[in-house]
Order: sequence, then structure tokens, then C-alpha cells
Amino acid sequence: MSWGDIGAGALRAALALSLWGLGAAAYAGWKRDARALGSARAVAIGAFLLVLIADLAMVGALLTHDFSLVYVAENNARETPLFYSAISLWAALAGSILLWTLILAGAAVYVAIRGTRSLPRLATVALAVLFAMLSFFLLLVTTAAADPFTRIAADLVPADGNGPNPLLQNHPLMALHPPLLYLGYVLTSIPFAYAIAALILGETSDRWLTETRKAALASWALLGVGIVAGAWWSYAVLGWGGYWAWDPVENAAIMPWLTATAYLHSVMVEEKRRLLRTWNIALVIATFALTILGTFLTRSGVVNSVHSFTQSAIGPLLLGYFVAILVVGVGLLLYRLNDLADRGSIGAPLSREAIFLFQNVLFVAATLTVLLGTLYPLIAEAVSGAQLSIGAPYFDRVEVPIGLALLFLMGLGPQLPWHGASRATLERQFTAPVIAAAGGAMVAVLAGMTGVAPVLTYALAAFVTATVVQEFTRGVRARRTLHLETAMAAFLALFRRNGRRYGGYVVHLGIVLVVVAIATSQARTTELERTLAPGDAMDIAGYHVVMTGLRDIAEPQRATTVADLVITGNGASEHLHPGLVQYPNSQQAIGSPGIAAGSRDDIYTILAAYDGTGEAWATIRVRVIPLVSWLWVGGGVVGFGALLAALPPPKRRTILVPAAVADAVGAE
Amino acid sequence: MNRIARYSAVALIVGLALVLTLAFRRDPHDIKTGTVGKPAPAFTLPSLADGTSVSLDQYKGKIVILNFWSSWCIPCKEENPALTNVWERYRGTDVVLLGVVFQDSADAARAYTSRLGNTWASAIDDNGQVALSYGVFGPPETYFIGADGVIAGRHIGPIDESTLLTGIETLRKSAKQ
Repeated sequence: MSWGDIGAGALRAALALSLWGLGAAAYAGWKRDARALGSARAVAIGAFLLVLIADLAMVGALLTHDFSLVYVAENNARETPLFYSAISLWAALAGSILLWTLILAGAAVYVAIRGTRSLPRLATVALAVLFAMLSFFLLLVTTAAADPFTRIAADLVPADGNGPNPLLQNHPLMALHPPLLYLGYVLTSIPFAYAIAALILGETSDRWLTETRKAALASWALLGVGIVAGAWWSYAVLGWGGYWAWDPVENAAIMPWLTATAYLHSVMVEEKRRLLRTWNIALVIATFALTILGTFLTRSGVVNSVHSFTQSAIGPLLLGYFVAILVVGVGLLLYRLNDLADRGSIGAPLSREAIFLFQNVLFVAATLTVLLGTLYPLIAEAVSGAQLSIGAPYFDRVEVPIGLALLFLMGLGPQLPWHGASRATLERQFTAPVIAAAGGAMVAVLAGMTGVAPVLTYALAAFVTATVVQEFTRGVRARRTLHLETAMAAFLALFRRNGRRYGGYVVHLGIVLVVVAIATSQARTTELERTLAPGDAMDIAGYHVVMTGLRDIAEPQRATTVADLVITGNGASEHLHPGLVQYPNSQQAIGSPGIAAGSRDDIYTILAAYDGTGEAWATIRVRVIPLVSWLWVGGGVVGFGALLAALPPPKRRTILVPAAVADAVGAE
Repeated sequence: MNRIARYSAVALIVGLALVLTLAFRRDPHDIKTGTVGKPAPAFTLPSLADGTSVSLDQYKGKIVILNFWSSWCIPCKEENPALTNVWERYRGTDVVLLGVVFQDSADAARAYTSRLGNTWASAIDDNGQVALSYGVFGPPETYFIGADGVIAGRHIGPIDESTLLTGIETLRKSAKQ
């Protein structure tokens, strides 16, 4: 039996199980039938195991170079290193859909086992929704749309394969960026399935919000970290010295992240004040629908992008799926609109809930403007036939002001109490942050920043940092007074007692790092390009760059020409080797930048061109990019903060605490 | 309020679905290279069989079907029977079938032609410069070059016999006029 037989067989059996599970879960939800629920649970585990077998069969086929499968012949070669062979599971369309299906089957198991114990009926219906989605994806991987196990006629099997896309076998971050994004994308289906179940059953309580909080948080964090990992990959591989290009597929990833961020905040308003219920369900539906839109844009070939997969029949199917999700989600929401109406209103404009609402409006505005910029070329072509593209200037002009406003609200919101703030509260909460903001602006000016946006970014970053520091200081102080703890014990206890709140502040600090990194690297990058003979040197931003020579490196799967550079100055002593890599399956050489990363700045070197005959000269481009490494660190801090926020809350004990103390320690 | 919400939701979904459906008319592979309608870029390459020079110039005044291929490319194998039939049909006439191997090693390419029994000439484009000058997206790709040396058409992906015949006969007719 070949890998192809195992994989294809497992997927077909999984499809049969998934359809059975859909029927069983729907019947169990309708009739409250325990036996049907038991059957659906067992089927969820069975389907997951079968999809796992199929995924492993594909990895096996890649590792053993089984070129009788089209997917392996197109994305693997005998010279492909073991590591890149294994991760070629997500190097192309069919394999990545296979991975997607596995994660979705995992989500169904989670809901079947955990969910149906705490909210039996709701989770059972949600499980049926997940089975419906799983069946759709299994249909894709068992038909021509995205069958990863399509075989080649025996007499046509090639002796060697094409090898993976050069861009995908050039950096280990390829092992991280796509699966993180897929996990983030697919986990949004859990809150979506619960929201649909709640709408179907007319469940107006918000218990499902609590139930899906962890899944929503996890999908948000994974999407965020996945996006940063993608930016890092782009920075380290594509060799243009940037990390974000407003490429349609980057936009497709950022849009659900934006709506998910809005949701994580607005859901607190529903939990505290029972407001914004319709809005929250709409955000859950929008987030999930946007992940499918992103998948559609990447895989249908309707947009030109570095991420575009080859065209296949999958485009129309994904479009149908996307439209079905919108019709069912929005249709049910409109049907239940009257049941979900809020009883009460937001009230005072300087209250936490009002800031959350305002912040939500901005996040949705950011999403819609990105959506418009991404789809505008398609709209224009549909309407007038004109072919055009929307570039970074549009996005920068629109998104930067929205981003700055959001940064301001990020400092403002957590400092305001629910229901409204008194003048005394405002003074107590904002004196220090406002002073810090002025200090931040001064630092920016002294660092040589020009332009309103960078200076404002520094001021607001300092403002937000001050609010976070103030929260932690007050929390620690209150615990020390109340519980007589040491400062460190009190600090750690804050996370244990209220991980959601203090983890959230850590996330805010991570965002501050990201924002400062973006503002500084965009505003203060210096660049110099020179053609050097071996032994020649160039000077840039205090660094002295000597090219000592050019050499060729031959590996079985690729040939590389590198320039050897020695960099001194500013306390640095670095040897960098920017190169151009030639893969046999590609006409164009792939740049492989040499990067010396530092906390203050990165020295980013590119071999732009070289003398191919005598190795007498090379054109070297050097960029000195300040603070860019803070961006990756910031992404990590955001992920860590999300982990803290997911810590389970301690068991509630009722104790009477004076209101002023409760406010200071953050009891809510 | 509810009615407005309903209508705008319906309008939004319909609009979005319409735009995305119309987008399928786009062919992302149809990357305009600008070489069609222009004189075919000249080249001299070593032949796959014995390394002697093959240049486009030596076929001046003839109709040239330039087929870019690689041994690892599965669609290339799919189109091979069509190429064989056309080669047998026009062999020794004013129509020339010339293969250009790129993104491939010479050994693998030779093994491929002998296994499939191809007898028409192929040249090796080792560094991909010729493919680049024609604006090739990826193998297989076929260019129709008229007797006047101008690229009359381009086909991306595996080609079938009727497309080849139609292209060749159109070029023959226009050459006679």
C-alpha cells in the first residue's frame, strides 16, 4: 500500500464519519438525545485520527520522495533537505488545505469533549456546525479541488521532482509562520460555531461568550504572532529591508485580527454591562468570514500576490462557502435582532464602556478601509474594466491616523472606571501619563524625529507605558498593604489573581514595542549602495563596511554566491555574508540578506549584483534600520501577554473589601 | 432601524459576492509580457543532443513553434503526444518545432527525451536568459513565431493538438498572403 492509498483512503473515511457526525450532532441537539451525542463525540475523535493519518501519510510521501503523487513531484526534489521536505506539507495549495482540515478536526474534538460537558445543548449544535465545516473541507481534499493525493499515471512518474518554491525553502521561519496563521484562522471557527448555535437555539444568555473566551483569545494571539512571524520572514528572506507591504494576503491576515481585537474588548462590555450583544455576535461572524475571505483571496488566484497559489477549482467552492457563511450568519442575526436588543445604553462618554465602543468603531473602520483597499482593484475592474493596484500610500495615509487614535484609546480606556469617571479620578489617573507623554515627545524630537506622526507615536507610546506602569505599581502597593507580601510576590500574584486584566496590560506593552519599532524604523532608516572591489570599503551611519571578497557555495539543492563583509564602528564587529541564491527550478536568483541584529539598530546588507565572470566587483546595499528588532520582541510580548490573560481565574471567595481598595487592586 | 440593517446587509452580501465572482474573469497567469506582436528575441544556445549551436536565425523565413519545457514538469509530459503528432505531420516543411529546456539539468532533460522518444531538436537555456527574454511564466509554454520573425501568439500551460494546428495554419495562411 502506498502513501497515496493510505492518505486518500483515510480522507474518504473521515468524510463519511464527518457527515455521520453532522447528522448525529444535529439530531442530538434537536431531540436532546444522549446516545446520538455519544456517537457524535466518538465520530469527532475518529475523524480527527483519520485526518491525522492522512497528514502523516503526506509527510511520509514527502520524506521518501514519492513522486508518484503530483503534490510531491511539484513541491519536492531528491535534494530537498529533510526539514524542508517535512514542512512542504504547507508549501502549496492542497497540502495547506490538508493541514487546515486537521486543525478543524481538532477543533471539533475540543468542542465534542470539553464543550458538550459545560453547555450540553449549545455545544452540541455548535459541534454540528463544526462538522458541517469539516465536511466541506474534507470534500475539498477528496475531490479535484484540492486533492493532495492525486496520482501521476505510472509511465509519467518523474525521476526527480521540481522542489519547493525557492522562497519557501530559504528560511526556517517557514516552519512557523503558516501553521501559526492557520491555527489562528481555524480557531476562529469555535466562537463562530457557538454564535451560530446560540442564534439557532435563540439562546440570549452570554454563557457561550465565557465558554469560547479561550478559543477567541488563542486564535487572536496565534493570528497576531503569525502575522509578526510573517513580517519577520519577509524581512529576513525577501531582501528588500522591509517587513510589511500591504500585499493582499497580508491584508487578508490583518483584517480578522483587527475585528478579533475589537471583539476581545467589546465582549467585556457585554460581560459587565450586558450591552453590545448584537455587535459582539456580528464581530464573531465577521472575524470568521474574513478568515475565509483571506483563504479565498490567497487560493483562488483573483489577486496577484507573492502568496498566490496556483489556480484550481477551489476558488468558486471557497467563494460559495464564504457567501453561505455570510448568508447563514447574517440571516440568523437579523432573525434574532429583536431578542438581542440591549436593555440600557452606554451613557457617560468618559467611561470604560464608551471608550471600548469608540475603540471598536475605529477597529471596524480600520478593517473596512483595508478591505476596501484590497478589493478596490477588483471592484474597479468589475465596474469599468480598468486594471489598477492600490499601494502602500493609500494604506499608510488611512491606517496611520486610525492607529494613532487607537494608541491613545489604549492608554485611556483601562484608566477609566465603568459607568463614568469623576474629575478627581481623571486627575488621579492621568497626571503621570500626561507628563510621560510630554517626555516621550521630547525624546522623539531629541532623537531627530521629524513629522507629526512619529513624534505623536512616541508621545502616545510613553502615555500608554505610563498607564500600564501605574496600574502595576498601584496593584503591587495595594497587595503589599493588604496581604503583607513582598513586591515580587505581589507582582506575580496580580497575574495569578487577575491574569486577564494584567495579561492584557502586558499585551498593551507588546503593542507599544511594535508601534515604536514601526515608527522608528520607517522614519529613521538610512541606506547606501556602492559597487565595491574586494578590499574596498564604504561608511554609513557610523559603520565602516569592508568587502573582503566574493565566493561561491555549492549545495546539492542550490548554488549561492556570497559577498564577505566585515563591519566595524559603533562598537560593532560583525562578519556578514549577503548572497544571491540560485535554485535549479527558478529563473530568478533569490536574495539572501546578511543581517546583524541589535537592540539599537539592525545592519541589513544585500548583495544587489556581482561580476559573474571574474568576481572583480559587487554591488552592496547597506541599510541601517533602527529598533526593528523591537518589532519581533513586541510580537513575542503580545503572545506572552495573551498566555497570561488565558490563565484560569482563581476560585472565587466572597470577602468584603472597602471599595477604594477593590478599585486599586483591580478586583472587578 | 431593523429594516435598514436588513437591506444594507443584503446589499453588502450581494455586492461582495458579485465583485468576487466577476474577479474570476481575471487570469493571474495572463501576465502581460509585452513580447507578443514584437520581433522574437534572437538567441544562440547549445543543442541538447550534441552541444552544437542552435540559433533562431537559422530558421529565418520559417514558422517556429518554440516550446519551453523541463523534465520534472508534469504538464510537459501531458502535452508531449500533441507535440509528437504535430512534429510528425510538419516534419521537413516550412514549420519548425524547437524545444527550449530551462530550469533543468542537461542529463535529466536528455533522459527525458530518450525515454519519450522525442526526435525534434531542443536547446538548453542553462541560465534561463532566453526564457526571461520571452517572458516565460513557467514550463510548459509555447510561442508561435511567424515567417516574419514576429511572435504571433503565446500559450501558457499544456497545449493540445487542435490549438497547435489552428495556430500553425493561421500563420501559414498569413505567410502566403
